Amino acid sequence: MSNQWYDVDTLQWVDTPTYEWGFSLDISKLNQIFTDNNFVYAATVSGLDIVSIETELSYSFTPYGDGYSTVWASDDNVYLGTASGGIKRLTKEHISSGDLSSYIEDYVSVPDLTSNNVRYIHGNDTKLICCTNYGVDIIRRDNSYITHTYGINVTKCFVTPKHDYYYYISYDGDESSINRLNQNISDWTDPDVVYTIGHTFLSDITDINDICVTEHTSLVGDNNTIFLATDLGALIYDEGSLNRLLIANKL
Amino acid sequence: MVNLNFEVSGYIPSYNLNFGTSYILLNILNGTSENFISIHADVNASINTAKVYITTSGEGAALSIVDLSRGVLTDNYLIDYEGGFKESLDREDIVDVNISISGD
Repeated sequence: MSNQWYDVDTLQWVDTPTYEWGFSLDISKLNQIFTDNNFVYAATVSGLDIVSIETELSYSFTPYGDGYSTVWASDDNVYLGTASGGIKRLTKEHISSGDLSSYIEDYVSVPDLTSNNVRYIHGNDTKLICCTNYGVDIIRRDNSYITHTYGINVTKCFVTPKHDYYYYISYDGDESSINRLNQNISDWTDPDVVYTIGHTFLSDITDINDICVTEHTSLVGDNNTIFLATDLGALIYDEGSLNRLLIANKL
Repeated sequence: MVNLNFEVSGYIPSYNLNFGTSYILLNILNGTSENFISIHADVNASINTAKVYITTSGEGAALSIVDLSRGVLTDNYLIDYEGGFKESLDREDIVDVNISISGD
């Protein structure tokens, strides 16, 4: 699997050809990467591979059962989602070469999570948002207080620095939607905003693969800008001005 | 009305009349894959500011960097094309993109 990232410090593209990934990593089964200034954290079906940005070589590989489905890192911790064991945590100060199994600890799981089948994690300075195969969980990393919404099929989620939460509910029918929750203090059923596929700014869109949101970047007011990887192309939506931009392949 | 002013870049946006409301369409990406799999934006990116990073996956995949302030493709990487840093994709089955920015 090819992964490349742009290191703004060195102004270099960093890639990791297969032969450079050491240990027993099956690079064809990568699930997600996350990058900080020192390492790339690769969640794979085999475990966690940590690659040094400086050397572009695998620095540490830690196997784990069915592997890790998703990864996100704060300044001090790496959070790893699993298919059946909830969320695990690795404190960064323990990162060293070799197997880090003894340092990867259980972080949160059922009944505190909507499900132990974790699909995606994203976070900011104080919170994590997590989608499972049965809902969405918002975790306060400072006190472990967790709120939830249940019974929805969510595939991707995103939290902005000031705690606006976005998540994509995917259904086979035409009711898939991007949902926005403004702040959060308790369990919720209805989000503050629902953008349904085929309507509003998602007209003509039938599927969404990825979401990224920038905060207070709207051309109007303190609203956000939503960036989506869709079946039509890269769709950018300004929630304040309501302007839309679609970037697609050359005709 | 926001002036996106993409024409200064040499790329002339077209308006897709199939959409219900005004909709700027930029057909500027290289590669043949239309499986848009992952996206990342600079933290200060808006509809007309900073950069967005777009990947497609499968045959004809590309990693594309678009300067939104000018509406232009500033760099791109394919399996058979080296981008600005003299690198090409090793494989085309891309699953994710993540950007490292100091202090981000």
